[in-house]
Order: sequence, then structure tokens, then C-alpha cells
Amino acid sequence: MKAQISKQDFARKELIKIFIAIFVLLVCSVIYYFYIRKDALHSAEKRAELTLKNTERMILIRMGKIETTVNATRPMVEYALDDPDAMFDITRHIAESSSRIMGAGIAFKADYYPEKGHWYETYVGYHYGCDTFVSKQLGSAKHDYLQMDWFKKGLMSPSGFWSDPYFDNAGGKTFLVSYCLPIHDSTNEAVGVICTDITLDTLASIVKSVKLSPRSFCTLTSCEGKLLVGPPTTQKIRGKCHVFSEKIEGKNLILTLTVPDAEMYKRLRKSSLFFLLMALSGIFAVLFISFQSMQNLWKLNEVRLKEQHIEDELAIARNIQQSLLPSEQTVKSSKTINIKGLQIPAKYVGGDLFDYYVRDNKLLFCIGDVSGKGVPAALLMAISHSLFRTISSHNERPEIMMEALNNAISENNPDIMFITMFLGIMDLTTGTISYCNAGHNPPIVIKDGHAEYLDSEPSLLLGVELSAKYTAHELTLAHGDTLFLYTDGLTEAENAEHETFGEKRALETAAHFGTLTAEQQIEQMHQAVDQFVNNAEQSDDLTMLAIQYVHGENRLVIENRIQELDKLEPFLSHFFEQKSIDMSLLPQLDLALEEAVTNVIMYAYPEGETGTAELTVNVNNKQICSTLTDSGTPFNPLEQQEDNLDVSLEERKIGGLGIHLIKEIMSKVEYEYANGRNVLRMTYDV
Amino acid sequence: MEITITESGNQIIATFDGRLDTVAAQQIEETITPLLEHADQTIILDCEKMPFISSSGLRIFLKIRKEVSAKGGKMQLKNVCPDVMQVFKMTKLDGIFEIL
Repeated sequence: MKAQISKQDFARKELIKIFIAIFVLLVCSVIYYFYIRKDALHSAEKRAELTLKNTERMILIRMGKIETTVNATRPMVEYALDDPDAMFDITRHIAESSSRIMGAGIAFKADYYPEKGHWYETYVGYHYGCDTFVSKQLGSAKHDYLQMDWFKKGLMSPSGFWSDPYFDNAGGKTFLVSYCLPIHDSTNEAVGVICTDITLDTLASIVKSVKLSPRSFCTLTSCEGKLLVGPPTTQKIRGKCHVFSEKIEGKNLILTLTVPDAEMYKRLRKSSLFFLLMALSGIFAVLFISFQSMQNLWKLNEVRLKEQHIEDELAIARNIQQSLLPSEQTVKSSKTINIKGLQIPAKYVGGDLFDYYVRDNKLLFCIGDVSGKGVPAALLMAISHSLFRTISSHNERPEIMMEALNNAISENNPDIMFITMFLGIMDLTTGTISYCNAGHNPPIVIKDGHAEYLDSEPSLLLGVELSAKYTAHELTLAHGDTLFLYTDGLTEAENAEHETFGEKRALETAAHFGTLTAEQQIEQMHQAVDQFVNNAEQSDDLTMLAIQYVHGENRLVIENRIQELDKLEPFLSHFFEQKSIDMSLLPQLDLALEEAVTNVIMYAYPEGETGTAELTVNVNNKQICSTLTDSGTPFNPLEQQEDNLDVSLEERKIGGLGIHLIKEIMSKVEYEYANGRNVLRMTYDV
Repeated sequence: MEITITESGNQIIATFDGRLDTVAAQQIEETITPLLEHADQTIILDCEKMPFISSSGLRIFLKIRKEVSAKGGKMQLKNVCPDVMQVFKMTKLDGIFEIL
């Protein structure tokens, strides 16, 4: 019984495959996730840094505009140094040049204009109360700018600079930052400083506009840590934050960007979620496809199992069909024929049949080919086989048998299947074959190494017409002749080029059979057709049956049993009679040959093994030549220690006595081992 | 091959009827036991109806001869046909067997 895969086993195997697929998908997803996560973190940081840089750049641009304005005014101041009163106009010009400027002043060294006093600083400032610019001279003992850092530093500085931010208590109540630019006289000596105050509100709008994410914010602080532009008062920060800061070069300002952790990686979270969704849908897709294909596979598997089941049954059918074929053993007792059959079905089962058996010293045989191939043909073949056995068991004439077969098959043949058949009865004593051919391929008759097709009018196929009449013919085989039967599987065997083996090739092959035995003939024909067909697929059943008549007056086959010796004397007696040899010579020849044959029976084959000895006898006017062969263990009886006839009786060995008798009777005895056979040639002078 | 054994006085007469070939020799292996039992007497082997003898047949005769020699009896052959006689000659047994 063939083991079958259960549904559970099958599902388990498939599930393992699916889980492996999902596992691989998950591993890939995780690896990919960490890869993009790293990338996303990096880009989030880059984005923050870039925002900060942009903000810094905007601040620098805004402050740079002030610088440019003031720097452009400096030559005017330096040009008008002789006129202290003109300074007011220039100051106003500066103050009004930009809305960002809250106030501007030009302060001079102590006593630079003696007429103006110790201090002289022209100042134009925004007056919050009346929303207009007011000019005044600001320097005084109370407002001693000469002592102030910006002035002192301004005189020393080679170029303009920004002051630290400071809180304006006086007017604006706001943070201010001043741009200070030294003024040089014609000798390039610093004589004063232009100071321009701008409110940080102007930068605050830039800073506050920075929005990386809803809850992120930007602050501006001085280098000392004074918070100049802070986060909105409503802003509450909880949890982890990411802080990026950038010092604005030369402006004493630090820009800080604060991003809550949750928002910093918001994009990453979004894409993670998206990725997770993708992975999950991938897994679902895998599961869906897997279960679909598993169902299909299961169906496929079921089909395969069914096919396997059919194949198993066909294999059994083949065995049954092969068992219908006769065995050579069944006719072994008939020593006058060599018979060998071979059947190779193209499919598991075939529609060819052959059969033979011996009844009343007659060989009944048939070979047939059922139309079609496969199981239907095989069934009809089996029926025909049993019909042949039944009908031939009580009939003596082939045409009667054929008629009975035809009637039985025709009677109930709805599918009009027909059979070609060659049927014969061979008299084992005379070698005469009475046969009837129902549309079958003509067999080859091999006589004296000459092969030809049996030329006789064939009768109608079996199964075509009820009560059809059949005609018998006769043929007599002499010693060594063969009737070689076959089905069209031989002559119509095709090679790869679709050429057929053909009747001509079959006949040529048979013509070379020479003295081969039936078995060797079948083997040779099989080889020839195999060689011709080469690797092409066998298209039809191939069946061959060779019947060789070996009942010669001069040939005897003996099995390795002592009782078989009883056949020797009648054989020789018959031979002497046929050849008209002096009967008085018989006992001597009989004795010598009996001794020789006994030797083979006793010693040629290992104990328990069956084998045969073949004896051929020929006569000419001077000699009787006999040849004894066997396929046993190589053994030369002539080398056996010959009995010393002079020693005492008690010491005599009996085996040697036989050899001695042979040598004594025969004029010449020769031994050789050739083609796997022991050959003993004995010549007797008449 | 058939063997008939009769007693007449102090003589045992065994009549051989048929060919004493290899097959027959094997068959009579048992039949000659009575002869061997009387090996102290004179055993006469009547070969009138025995046309043929093989080496196996000779072995039977030699077996009886050996037994007889041991027990002090005698073995005589009578009515030996020419063909069998020829075999005895070929095997030089004609000088050993007492042939009447």
C-alpha cells in the first residue's frame, strides 16, 4: 500500500512555508524601518539646523540694511565736520531712513566744538508720546556719553559694530541694540561716533515667525544670557525637547530653536505608521495568496494522488497481464521444441497476446493483436486469451477453433473492436503445423538459415462478422527450423525520423539467425529493433514468439536426472533404424554414450541445480560422430585419473571405469570448453 | 530390470532380467541386499536375459564380489551374452569374475 499524504500533513508543510515567508518579510521590514529611521532623524535635525540658519540670515540681512544706511551717511558727517549744526540734519536723515530706527545720534569727542561746550551729541529720537521724531543735544554732565562704553569703544574701533542689547528705560520700554560707527577727520583720527538705536522688535517678528512645527519656537538671547525675544507667553513646554542654537557672528546674539520631541520626529512617526500599514497589508497579501495557492495545491495534490492510484492499478493490471503469458517451463518436457516469447507493452497494459501449451503431444499456440491500445485493448486481450484456452482445450482443428473464437468475440462487440490472430497446432512428433491466420502479419519461416514470409491466404479478422468461415493450412518444420511470429509492433516500430522497421528489415535480421536457438533469435530481433528505434518512444506493443522444432533423429536433450537416461537407448535405436546402421553396433555405442551422459548428469551441475545435456549423433559411411554438450561447470573428463585396471578390485574407483569404457569403445575422444559449454566429441568407427 | 533370487541347495541364484544400465543399477541397489547377506555361500548370477551392462552395473557386480571375498563365499556368472562379455573384456574384469 502506498503511503498517502494526509491533508493535515500537507497543510502543515504549506503553513511552515507561509510562516517562513512572513518571517522573512518581517525581518526585512524591521531592517528597512531602522534604516529609514536613521535617515529620518538625520534629516529632521538637518531641517532644524537649516531653519536656524535661515533665520540667522534674515536677521543678518535686516541688521545689514541698518549698517548700510548708517555707513552711507558717514561720509556726509565727515564732510560736514566743520559745521556742527549740520549734524542735526544728518542725524534726522539717519533716524528717518528706516522705520526700524528708534533713534540716532552723532557724538563727538570732548570739546571737539569748543563753542558747543564740553559735550556735543546731536540726537534725533522717536517720541512715543507725540509719535514723531524729536531733535536735541543730548550730551551733558548728566548724560556723560564720554564715559559710556559704546562711545569709548566706538572711538577705538576701526569699523562699525553692534552693541550688546540693552533695555530702554527711557522711552520705548523695550530692548534696543545700537550700531556704532566711528567718524574720522581728514587726518583719519577718530573724532566721534554715530550711534543708531534699533528696537529688537524688528528682529522679534523674524524670530517669532519661525515655525518648524506647531509647538516649536525660536528665541533670541544676548551673549550674556538676557532673553531678548522669548517664546509666546501661552507656550507651555512639557516633556523632552530638542534645542538647536546658533550664535549670530558679530552681533552678540544667540538664536535658539526649541522643538518638542513629539514634533521633531512627527514625520518619522507618520512614515513609520505608513510603513507598518504597508508591512501588515503585505503580510495579509502573502497570507491570502498562500491560502489561495494552498487550496489549489491541495486540489492538485489530490489529482496527483488519484493519478498515482490509477498508475498503481495499471501496474497491477500489467502484472496480471504478464502473468497470463505462458512460461517456457510449461513446455519444457517436450524436448522437440525450443520456444520463446517476448512481450513489451507500449503502455502499462497492452493489447497483444500470445499463448502456447502442450496437449497430447501437440503444441497449441497463438499470437494476436487487439485493435487499439491501453485498458480496453487489454481487457479484450484477456478475454481472447481465456477464450483461446477454453476453445483449444477440446478442439483439434485450427479453423474450427478460429470460428469459435470469432463467434464468441463477434457476438457481443458493440465497440467493433477486432483482433488479428495466428493460431496453430504443431504435431511434436512430425513437426507438422496446422495453422489458421485471421488477418495477422505473416510469420517468418526460417529453414536451413534461409528466411521467408509464410505465404498463405489470410482469413478474416476476428470480431468482424459472425459465422465467418476460416481456412487452415499446413506447414512442416524440419529439425532446426523456426516459425517466427510477431505483431505489427515489430514491423511498425518507428525511429525518431518516423521510419518504420519494416518487413524487409525483419526478414534480413531473421536471415542471419543461422543456428541460433529460439531464445537467441528473439534476443537478436529485439536488439535489431531496439537499435533501429534508438531512443524514440515505443508507439505500439511489441510481441514476438519463436517456435523452433528440434526433434531431430540425431539430437537428444536430456535433463540432469538419472531417469532421463532411459531416453538414450530408444533414441539411438531410432537413429540406427533410420540410418540403417548395423544394429549389432548399438550396445557398444549405447554403453559409451550412456557413460558419457551419466558423467554430465552426475557431475556437470551443482547439486540441486537443473541443467541439460544435448547429444547430437551423425553418421557417414565410416564413422558415427557423436557430440555431447552441457552448460555446466567446465570439466574435462579425459583428464580424470583413469582406472588402473591392474590394481586390486577393492581399490578401483568406479568413475574412472566409465571413462575407460568410453575410450575403449570410441576410436577418438576429444574435449573442449567453448562458448560457455563443455563439448565432448566421440567418434566410433563403423 | 528385475532380479529374481532363488535358493537351490547351498547355492543362491540371482537371475537378471533386463538392461543393467545406470538407471537400473540405482534401482537394484536395495534388491541385492539378500545376496550380500548370503555372501558366505556360492552366488550364481544368471545373465542370460541381461543384454547390457554399464559401469554402474559393473559396480553392482564388484560390490557383491567384494562381499563374497570377505565372507569366504563364491560369485559365479553364467550365460553371459557376447556384448556384456565384451564389456568385461574391455575392463579386464573377465579375468577377475568367475564366468561359467
